[in-house]
Amino acid sequence: MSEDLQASEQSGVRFTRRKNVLFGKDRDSIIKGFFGSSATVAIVVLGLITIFLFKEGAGFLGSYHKSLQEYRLSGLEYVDILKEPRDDFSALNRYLTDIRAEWIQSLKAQGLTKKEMSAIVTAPEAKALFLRYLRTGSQLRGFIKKKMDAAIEVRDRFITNENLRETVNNYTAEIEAVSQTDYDPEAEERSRHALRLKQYLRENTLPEAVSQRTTEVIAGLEGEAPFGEAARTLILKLLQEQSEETRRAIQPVDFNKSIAVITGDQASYATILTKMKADIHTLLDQADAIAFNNPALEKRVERFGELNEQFLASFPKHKAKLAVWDQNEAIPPWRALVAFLTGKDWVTASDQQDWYGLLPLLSGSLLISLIALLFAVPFGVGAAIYVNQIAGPLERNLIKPYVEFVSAIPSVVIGFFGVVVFGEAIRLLSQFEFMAWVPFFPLQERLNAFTAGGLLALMAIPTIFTLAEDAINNIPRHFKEASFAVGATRLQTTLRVIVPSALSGIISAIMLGFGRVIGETMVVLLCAGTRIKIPDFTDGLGVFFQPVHTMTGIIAQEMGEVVRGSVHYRALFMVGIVLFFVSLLINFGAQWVVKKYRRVGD
Amino acid sequence: MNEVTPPISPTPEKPIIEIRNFNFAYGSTQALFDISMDIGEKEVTALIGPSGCGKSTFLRCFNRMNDLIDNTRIPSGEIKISGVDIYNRDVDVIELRKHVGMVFQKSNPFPKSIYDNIAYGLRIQGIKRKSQLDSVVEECLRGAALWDEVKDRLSESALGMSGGQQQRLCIARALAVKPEIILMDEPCSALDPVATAKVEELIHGLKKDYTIVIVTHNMQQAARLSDRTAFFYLGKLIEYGPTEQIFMNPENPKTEAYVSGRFG
Repeated sequence: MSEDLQASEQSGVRFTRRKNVLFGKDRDSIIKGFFGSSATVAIVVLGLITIFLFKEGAGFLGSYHKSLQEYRLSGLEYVDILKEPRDDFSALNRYLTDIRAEWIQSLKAQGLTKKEMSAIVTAPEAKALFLRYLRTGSQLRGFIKKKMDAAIEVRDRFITNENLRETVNNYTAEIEAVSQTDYDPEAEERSRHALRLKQYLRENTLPEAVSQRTTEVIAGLEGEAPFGEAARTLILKLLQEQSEETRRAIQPVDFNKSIAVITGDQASYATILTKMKADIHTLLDQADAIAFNNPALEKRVERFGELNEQFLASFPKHKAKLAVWDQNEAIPPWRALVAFLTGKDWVTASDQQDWYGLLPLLSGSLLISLIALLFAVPFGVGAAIYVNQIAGPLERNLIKPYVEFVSAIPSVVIGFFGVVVFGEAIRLLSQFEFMAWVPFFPLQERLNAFTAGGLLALMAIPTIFTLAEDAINNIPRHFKEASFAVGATRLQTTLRVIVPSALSGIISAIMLGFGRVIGETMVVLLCAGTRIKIPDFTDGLGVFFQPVHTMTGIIAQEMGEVVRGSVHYRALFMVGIVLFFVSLLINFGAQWVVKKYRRVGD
Repeated sequence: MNEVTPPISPTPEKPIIEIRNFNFAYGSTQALFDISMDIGEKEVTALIGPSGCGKSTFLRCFNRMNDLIDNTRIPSGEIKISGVDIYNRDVDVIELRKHVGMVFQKSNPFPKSIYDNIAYGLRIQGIKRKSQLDSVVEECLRGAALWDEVKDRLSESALGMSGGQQQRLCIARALAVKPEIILMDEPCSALDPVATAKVEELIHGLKKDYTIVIVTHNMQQAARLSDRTAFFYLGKLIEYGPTEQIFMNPENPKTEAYVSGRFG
């Protein structure tokens, strides 16, 4: 055997044991472990993010449900119903103001002097309509204001009470802890006790002996002295006193009693409405005396009269709505979720009621994504087809890195560019005479969905371009050759063979571009105009030029200033969850498309 | 075969393709050197030679398929098809390719239905009439001996066919634009013997209507199918003549070595 070994050594062929490099592992298993652990870490982090997101968001439904309940119990909901006619009335007022402005414009166009104009506009019959109309609603406004203040006061007192109760509970828990015989406070608690005692000393005039003892205890607490009986007694006494004081501050709120203030006065409310009706009728009758000498204006005034009739006719319905309102009607728990998902308002830090409705944000996000894709898809896919199929090698080597370079521009830089250059340029362009044919030009807002969408398109183009180009590049060359061999032109080959074969890849590229766009934050925060309102889709294409807010933008904007654990804080996490699901859906969609339409190339 | 075939003359009597001192290069690498030969009308001409000898490159010159590759050039020489210099500036490549069809080494049907694959060549010419397309599709599939196998599943994806069927479909697709010449670049190299036999049978049948130029690695196939054979080596045409002569009595010792299997 030793001879064998010698022979093998001589010939240079020898099997050695695997060498251990680190902790008894050889190189292969270390490399394997490295890659394995990287994958594990990635999965764990993703899991943690998901869990955290859901943990923070989960409490939202409960808190929001509670808030909605308070909204109903306190009577704020009733006040909001009361407000409906007032809001309609305000809209009518705006309409009237518009008419007046138009009237003045038309007078100006007739070439009248200022004096003549003011004489016409302030004629008694004109004054009656334009100035007194607003006054007909003043009683209604006053009534609602009173009710609203009452409801807010009740709601606020209720919330204050809740906070006070929690403070009392904290006191009780502390008293419980301190009265344990083996109570040994940490340094932090000691200093808190000391602080509290100091404050007590400062704010009360105590007998010399008590004051002396307290000072000693404070010194003991601040020093290293053990927690003695003297300290315990003093602290317990103080805690009990303060707890009692807080308890006394609680003024119980009985919603059922307090509601009377709000829902009462039905009779005077009815009187107000009746009087308003009469006033408006008188005013409108007088308005017939005004000579506008302008058919368009007369038509509008006529329309104003019709609208007023509609408004007045809605009173009985409104009263019926008030009558059926029930303070104690229970709000089912799922209402909170529905209110979130289908809510039309996102109102925070309001003195009345906070609303957390997703729709304005979701619609803003989708609108901006739509605009972005409208630009990015033709440009991205077109550029991919051009570079892969038509461009020569020189062009290809020039275009590809440049397009891909766009994705290296930080989004905040693009956003800055949007604010300073792009948005301003669009607004200036819209003010030129020759652009007047566009129905919604000139634009008032520099920052709007179009500005943000246009810039997001710029950010999505590299994604779509790169992925679509890959997809087209993966189409086997022999498809192209086969097409050419039967006499197809380059264009025919591209459109009829290459693009249809690469369609699954192109669609998934578009989906991933969409994912990129809807998740983008900085640009939309800077350029979208941050107006939290559902875009007015009745405006036709003009909807593209309205300022909007987005899901990502609202999180970035408001997360910094919310109170941790509040409804608002949790609502932002809920928005995050929705965003998470939207992105998930897009990714799954892209994968599904690839799988479903994957062609067997070979 | 009972009938006595007259001995084939050394040069084709009715040449359809005339190649004169043809040179071809990929960038600075010359691939074909000074080739001159005539290819006879309605004959099967086989191009043989070891890998990398330029026979496929040569074949792809006939329908200017090499135009698709960047940096190719023709330093000198010409190819005339039916008397027209195909590398002339005035020649419409699209028109040329309709005259000179091609079947590739790897079957390459489009990821479309069987019907659409065949109709493709017509549709790109702007022919939309259903009845015309229908009749051409049937004619071509019959011509490619595929009709009976696929007539009930014309709307199914061509990718679901077997390898041999796919290759015959590609031949049918090439027939659809009614070419005069069909170039075949090792059409059977990826097929099993049974499928190969079917394709060979088909080629034999097509001979009476089409001029066929076939590149093959398979010596037996060349011997079985072709009327004339050209042997290429390192980009040069070494020997060209009636197939019988090339295989039985080659003049050049290199040809002899290759056909007898001593290298290649």
